Amino acid sequence: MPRVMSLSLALILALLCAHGTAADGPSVVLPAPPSATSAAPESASARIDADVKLFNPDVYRLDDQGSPVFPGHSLFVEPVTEVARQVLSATWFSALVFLPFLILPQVLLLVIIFKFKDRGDGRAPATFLTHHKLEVIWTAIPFLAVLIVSIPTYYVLEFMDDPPKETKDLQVVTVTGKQFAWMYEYKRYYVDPNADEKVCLQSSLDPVNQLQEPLLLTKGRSVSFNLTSQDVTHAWWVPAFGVKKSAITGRFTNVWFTPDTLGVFKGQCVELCGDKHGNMIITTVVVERDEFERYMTLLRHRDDTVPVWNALQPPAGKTVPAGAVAKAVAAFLQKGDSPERQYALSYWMASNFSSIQRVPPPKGSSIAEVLGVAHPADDHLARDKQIDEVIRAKRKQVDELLPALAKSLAALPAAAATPILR
Amino acid sequence: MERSAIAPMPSLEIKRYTGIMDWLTTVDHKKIGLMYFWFTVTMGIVGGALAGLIRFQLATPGAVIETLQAAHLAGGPEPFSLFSNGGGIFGDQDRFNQMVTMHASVMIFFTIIPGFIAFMNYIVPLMVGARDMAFPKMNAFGFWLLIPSAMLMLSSFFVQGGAAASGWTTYPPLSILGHGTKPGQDMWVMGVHLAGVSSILAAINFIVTIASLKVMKWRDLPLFAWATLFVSIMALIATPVLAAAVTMVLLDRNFNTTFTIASQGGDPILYQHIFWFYSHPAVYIMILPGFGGISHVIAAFSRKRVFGYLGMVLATGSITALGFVVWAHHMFVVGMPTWMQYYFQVASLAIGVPTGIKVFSWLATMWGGTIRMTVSMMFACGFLCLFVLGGFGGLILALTAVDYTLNNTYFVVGHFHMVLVGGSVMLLFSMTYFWWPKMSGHFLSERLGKWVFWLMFIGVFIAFFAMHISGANGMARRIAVYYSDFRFSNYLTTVGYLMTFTSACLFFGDLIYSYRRPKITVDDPWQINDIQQSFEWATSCPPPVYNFAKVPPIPILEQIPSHDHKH
Ligand SMILES: [Cu+2]
Ligand SMILES: [Cu+2]
Repeated sequence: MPRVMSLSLALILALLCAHGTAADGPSVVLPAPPSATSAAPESASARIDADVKLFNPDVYRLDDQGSPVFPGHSLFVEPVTEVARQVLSATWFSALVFLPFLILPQVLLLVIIFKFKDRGDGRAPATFLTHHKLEVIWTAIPFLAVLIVSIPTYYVLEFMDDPPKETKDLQVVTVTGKQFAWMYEYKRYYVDPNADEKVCLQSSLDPVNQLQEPLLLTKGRSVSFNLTSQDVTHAWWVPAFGVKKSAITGRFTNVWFTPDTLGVFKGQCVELCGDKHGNMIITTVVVERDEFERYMTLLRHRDDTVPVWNALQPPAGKTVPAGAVAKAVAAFLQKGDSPERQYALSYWMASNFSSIQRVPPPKGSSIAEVLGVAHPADDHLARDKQIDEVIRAKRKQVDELLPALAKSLAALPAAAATPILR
Repeated sequence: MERSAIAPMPSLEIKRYTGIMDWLTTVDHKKIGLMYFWFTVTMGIVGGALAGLIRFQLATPGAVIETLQAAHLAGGPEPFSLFSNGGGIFGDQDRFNQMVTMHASVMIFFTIIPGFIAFMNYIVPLMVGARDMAFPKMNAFGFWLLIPSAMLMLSSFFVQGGAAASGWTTYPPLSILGHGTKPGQDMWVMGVHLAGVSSILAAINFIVTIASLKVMKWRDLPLFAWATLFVSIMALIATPVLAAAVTMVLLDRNFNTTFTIASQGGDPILYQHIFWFYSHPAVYIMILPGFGGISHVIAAFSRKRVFGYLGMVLATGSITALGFVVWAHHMFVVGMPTWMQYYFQVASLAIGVPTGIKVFSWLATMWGGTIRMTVSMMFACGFLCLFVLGGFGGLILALTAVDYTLNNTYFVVGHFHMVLVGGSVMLLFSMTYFWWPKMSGHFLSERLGKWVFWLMFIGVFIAFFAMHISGANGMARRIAVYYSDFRFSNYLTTVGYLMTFTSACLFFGDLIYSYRRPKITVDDPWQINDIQQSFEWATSCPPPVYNFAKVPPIPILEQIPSHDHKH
C-alpha cells in the first residue's frame, strides 16, 4: 500500500508537470517535393507548394519508413494564447493550494495503519469521540482554501468571458457545427465586396474531396467566435487556445482569444454528436497577416476553379477529353484574369491534388489506383514518386495554359470579351 | 418506541410458498434486499462486460487514427477494429456509442444505485430495530419494477437501429434524431421511467421506515440510517425531475412537441439544466449511502465509536442540500453569464468542505484505535485513498476557467470513475465483506479477499489514473478512434480494466462458494456489538423473518459512557 500511494503522488506530480512542459510543438513536417522536371518556373511552383503546405496542413505523405507524417497532429501543445496561459497558471495555483488536502489524508492514512494496527498486545483503543478544536480547524481551513482559490480564478473567468473592446481589427468568425463538419464564415471578408448583397467567405468541407478544411487565424490578432449549430449540439475545442464552447441550435455562444504563435493547432468536437463524432477533427493554422489576406483572396476565387478541377478529373478509367481543360481554364480567365486569379487557379489545383491523398480510397484500392498509377505494392518510396509525377503532370497542364490564355484574353478588345467558351 | 414492543407479528411468519415462489412473492425486506444484491451483481457483470467491449475497441489497432490512415494510404486491408466499420477513415461509431450509453446506464441505474439499496433494504430496518420496512409490499413492488426496466434497456440492443446511442446524458437534439425508426432511445426512456418509479418508492419507504419505526432517538440514529434518510430525501426530490427531462425527449420524439427543438421555439439547454438538476444529486445518491456504511466499518475494525457523530450527520446533510444547487458545473461550456458560472464554481468547491469533514472524521475514528485489517477494512482504506485522489480531480474540474479546457475530456471520465469505482464500488465491496456474514450467515474468504482487494485497488488506480493522463493530454471522451499520442495511456487503462475484472471474477466465485462454508452460529461474528450504534448484530445471522423476538436491548448504547449528547 505505501508504495502504491507514493506512486500515485509521483504520478500526479508528473501529470501536473507534463501539462506545463511536454509538447511536440506545432511543427509542419512534410518531405520536400521531388524536383519537377517541367519547364515551368521553379520558384512559382515551389511557392504554390509552400502555400499548400501552409494553408492545408492536413495533407500527409509517408516518411522513409512508410509510416504517415501528420503535421502538428499532437493535441498536446503548449498554450499559445493569453487565455490558455492564464488557465494553465490558474490550474497550477489551485492545484498547489489544494495539494495539502490530497497529501495529508494519504499520509495520515498510512501513519494510522502502521501506528494503530492491532498487534495483539492487548492495547486498549482510545475512547475520545469529539474534538471541537480539530473539527473547527478542518472545517475552516478547507473553506479558506476555497476562498483563496476562488479569487484569482474569478479574474481568469472574467478575462475569458470579456471580449476585447477594440473591435476594428477584430477577426470575427461564425463557426457552425453540423454532422460532421465545421463551417467557418469569415465575417467582413466578402466574395464580392462591391455586390449589393454581400456574401462572406466560407470554408467547410472542401468542395472537391469533402474533407474538413482548416480555420485560418492571424498571429497577434484577436479573434471572436460566434458558435452555433445546424443540427445537434457540438463543441469546438482546441487545447492550445484554452477555449471550448458548445455550438447549440438556436443560440450563439461566444469565445475570443488572441493566438500569438505561428503554427498548426489541432482539436476536435467534444460533444457526442452522432455516429461519426470522432470524425469532427478541427485544424487551425495561425499565419502572418499577409498570408492570411492571401488565403482570403484564394478563397474568394475558389468556387470558379471547380470546373477546371472537374475537367482534370475524368470518371475513373477514362481519359481527359482533349481541350476540356483548356476550355475550362479559358472560362475561368474570362471572368477575370488578374495575376491573383491566375495564382488562385494554380493554387487550388495543387491543393486539391494534395488533399486527394487524404481521401480514403474505395475499399481494397489505394490512392495510387485512383490516380491510375501502376504501383509496386511493397515500395512506398517508388509509388509515392509515381503519384507525385502524375500529379505534377496534371498541374503542369493547367499552369502552362494559364499565361498563354491570359495573354490572348488580354489582347481581345474589351467589347469582344463576350463568352468565347461556354 | 413502545409501539415496536408489541407481540410478534404472526402474519409475517406464515409461509404460503416455498422455493422459487417464496422469492417471487416475498415482502420480507431481507429477501428483497438479497434480491437487490444479486440483481446488482448480475448487472455489474453486464455493465463490466460492456466496459470490456469499450476497452477492447480502444485497444484494437483500428482505434488509432494514424494506423487507420496509413492503411488507407497503402491500400491495405483495414486494421482490425471492433466497432468502427466502414464509413470512411474514422468509421461509423454508432455501435460504440451504444456501448458507451448502455455501460453508463447499467452501471448507474442498475448497479450502483440498487447496490446501495440492497444494503439499505437489508440492514436499515435491522439497524433501527424494526421488523420490516414501513411498506413491505411497496418495497417488493419497487424491486420488481427494476426487472422490466433492465429488460427494456438491455433488449434494445436487438431492436432496429440498436440501443440508445446518445450517451446516458441523452442530450437533445441528438437524442431526438431517429424517432420512429430507432425505438432504442424510446425503450431507454421507458427503462429510466421504471427505474425512477422504483427509486421514488424506495425513497418514500426508507424515509417512513426510519422516521416511524426506529426504536432509538434521532440523536442515536446510526450513521448508515442517517445517510439512507438523506439519500432518500434526495432521490424523492430529484428523481421526478429526471422523469420530467426524459419525458421531454420522449414527447419530442413521438408526439411532435418542441421542448428542445430550437427551430420551433424550444431550447436544448433547457433539457440540460433539468437533466443535471437530477443527475448531480444522483452522484451523491451513488455515494452517500456508502459514506454512511463505511463509518460503521471503520468504527468496527478500529474498535472505536465513530468520531464526531454530529459533524458527520451535519456534513451528510449539507452535502445533500448543496448537492441541489451546483448542477450547472456539468455545463460550463454552454455559455452562461459570468456571474452564474462563478456561482456554480464556488458552490461546487464548497461541497469539498463537508466532504473533507467526513474524510478527516474517518481518519480520526481510526486514530488511537486497535485496527484489524480485515478485507472489509482494507476496502475502506482503499476507498479513502482513491476517493481523496478522485476528489482532488473534482476540485480542479470545478474551476470554471480550467473546465473550459478539461470539460468532456478523459480527465472528466477518469475523475468520475475514480470516485465511482474507487469510491462507490470500493464502498460496496467493503460493505459486502462487512455485512455478508449477517446477510447470508456465511463468511467470505479473508485470504482470497486480500487478492480481490489488491487486484481491484491497483487495477482501479491504474485504469483511472491513466484516464486522467489521456484527458490532460487532450483526448476527448466518447470517441472510438484516437490519435496515437493517447495509445499508451489507453493501453494502461485496459490493463487496469483487466485487473479489476479479474478481481470481480474472484469475488463472484467466492460469493457463490461462501454458501458452502460453515454456518455462523453467533449473532455478532465480528465481535463489535459493544462499539456499534445499531441493532443488526443483536440478532442471528441471518436474522429470522421477524428480525427481533423482542425489542433489541437499547442499553447497548448506554454501556458506552462517553457518547457525547451535549451538543
Ligand atoms: Cu460534433
Ligand atoms: Cu455534478
